[in-house]
Amino acid sequence: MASSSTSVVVSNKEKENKNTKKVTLKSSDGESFEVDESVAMESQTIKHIIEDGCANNEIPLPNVTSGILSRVIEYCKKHKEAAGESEPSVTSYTSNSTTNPLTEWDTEFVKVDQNTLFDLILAANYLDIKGLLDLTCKTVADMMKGKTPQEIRETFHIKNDYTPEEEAEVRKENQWAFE
Amino acid sequence: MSLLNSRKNLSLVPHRKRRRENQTQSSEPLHELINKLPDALLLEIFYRLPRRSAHLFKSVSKHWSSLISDPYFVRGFIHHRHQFNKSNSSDSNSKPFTLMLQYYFRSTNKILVLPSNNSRDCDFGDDFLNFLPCIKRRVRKLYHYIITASFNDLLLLYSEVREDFILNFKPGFCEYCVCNPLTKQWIKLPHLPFNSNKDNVIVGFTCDPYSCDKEQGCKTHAHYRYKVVRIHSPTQPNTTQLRVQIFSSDTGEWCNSVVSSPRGLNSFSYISKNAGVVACNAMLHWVDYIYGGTLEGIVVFDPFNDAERCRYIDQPIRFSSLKGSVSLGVCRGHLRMIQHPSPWFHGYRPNARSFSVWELEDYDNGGTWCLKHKVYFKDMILEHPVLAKLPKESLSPIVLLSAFHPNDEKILFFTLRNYILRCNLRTMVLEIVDELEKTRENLVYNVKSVFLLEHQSWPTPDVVTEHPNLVEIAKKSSSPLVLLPAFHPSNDKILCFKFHNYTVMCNLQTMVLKIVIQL
Repeated sequence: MASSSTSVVVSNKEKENKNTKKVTLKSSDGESFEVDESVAMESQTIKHIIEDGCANNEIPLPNVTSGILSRVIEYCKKHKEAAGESEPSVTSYTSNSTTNPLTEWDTEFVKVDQNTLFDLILAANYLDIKGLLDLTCKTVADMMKGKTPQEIRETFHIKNDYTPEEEAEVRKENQWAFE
Repeated sequence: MSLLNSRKNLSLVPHRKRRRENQTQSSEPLHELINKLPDALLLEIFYRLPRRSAHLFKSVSKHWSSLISDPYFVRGFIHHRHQFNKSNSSDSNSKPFTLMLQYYFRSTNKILVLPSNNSRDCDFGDDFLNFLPCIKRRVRKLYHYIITASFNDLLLLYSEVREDFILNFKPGFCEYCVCNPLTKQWIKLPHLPFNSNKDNVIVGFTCDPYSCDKEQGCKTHAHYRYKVVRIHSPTQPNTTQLRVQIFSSDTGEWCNSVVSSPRGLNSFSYISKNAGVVACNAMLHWVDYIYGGTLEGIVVFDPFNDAERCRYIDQPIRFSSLKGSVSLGVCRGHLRMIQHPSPWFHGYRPNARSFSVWELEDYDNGGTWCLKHKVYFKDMILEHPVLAKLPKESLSPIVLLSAFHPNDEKILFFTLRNYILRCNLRTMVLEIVDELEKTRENLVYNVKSVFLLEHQSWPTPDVVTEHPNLVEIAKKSSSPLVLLPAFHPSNDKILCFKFHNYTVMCNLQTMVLKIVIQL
């Protein structure tokens, strides 16, 4: 692992000559990721850190593990490329397949297990990446749509803390939704 | 997908992490992973659900129920929808609506719900009001409700029960009921005495949302107040004082008052009743019409801000003073009026038969109208073979009731004989939407009224359940509040007591007063 990080540093120096600013992001478990500053700025959180001049060597992200961080960087890179270099990618509030050319890529991106998906939501929230938060939340909502409460409990392993009487009461109050 | 896989192979994931992941996947039971999300993020997920699912998931767990039932969630839900609609701006789809026609058929009141391309969420069958209890007087006497008004996704229903002289004398009463046909929730308003002289009354219904997010421009209907206004017809010509009865959800009572008008008003005629009372921007509008004559103007009443006076809007300047009928409606937040000149005026000039659509642009200075459309029937394209068979001259006379599409200003609905038509002013096509059952009777006069239900992002809830003012009513009332309290056998936070003619359940945990039974 040490060798891989030094090789990253070496290429860093090469790239510096090409005049693209880089930042290093450090995950909670000590992994460092070097990315273009413009890609990193997809995250509003990181953007504020950089703009406030607090990004000296590395930006520590204690809430994000390396596995998740690598995926997040993947997302930001892809969306930054698609949007162009001038400003942070303007992702529409909800991805519409006719307006967002990355819909297919996004769909593949979120085909992960529940654990990873929720970690991505947490990371997107912590790093303040609107498009990613929207995408991941929408994915979970789509997983929930059309399911009965029991199916929801099974899919997400939620414990039913209602007594049968209480559950019948809630059902009665919202009868129209059950039909 | 291949990109992600290759990432993994580059061992950016440290070794020990990988081992831990394998462990959770194979041996450890998957505990409530979703609960590692903080509430704020759970809400973000819920906002993206269709509203029926959101309601449904209240029964998943108590935690979810408390999140979804919270007014904060409802506000966020509506706001999210609003944002979504703004960025996807397709105007005619912004809010689905249901048009319903009320008519008489074989001396029973019936409702026809027009087919619409709403989502599965808001489809109604013709018997959609069957969930309402009928008033039962004697064994075989059932009094059904008729619809008198609508506002957003609520309906105002009315029923009257005559005096009962047989056996014990029971006075007659009138009863209004506010209901949400989607959620099947309803509230009955206090009874009014039944007047056997048949009050000549028109009724208006309007709601005023409590919290209106002015910046984001979206109104939340999570908590709101409403008023039902019964306007009595002036008995003498040129009256400037109108007798009204107003029910306010704030007080929970009817109150009689007098509204003064800047102009003399005419008695109500069948034209006034057909046009009804239209609520636009929380103000009520109705027509001032000389019977056998023409439209004089529109009366505007704002029960929330100025309950003592009403305003008067003159008829449009270029309004042809032709005898004919008038319909009021709302399109995109503005009051609109259709004028159908009477066919008998046109006489033998069938090509001149037309209708005009006016929009009220300004309420000040006696009102400013704008003529939006003037349409000649001869220019309409009749696609349906049945319509095509009708000579164009006969189109005009029987168009009695009309309604506006709430979002698309170029679409109107008419009733013609037993057909309901949609008129598209863009393409000038007149097409049949639906048909009433045919009888030998002249159906024209059987069609009573048209109502529009505008479906909201979040269904308007049963107000009384969570209305804090129920406690206010209790405070103001002089009669004993708590009669016959009862304790819940196992839950020490729930009490039941009688209040006026309601049986109320009080939950001390949530501090909610809920009406359980009404006598």
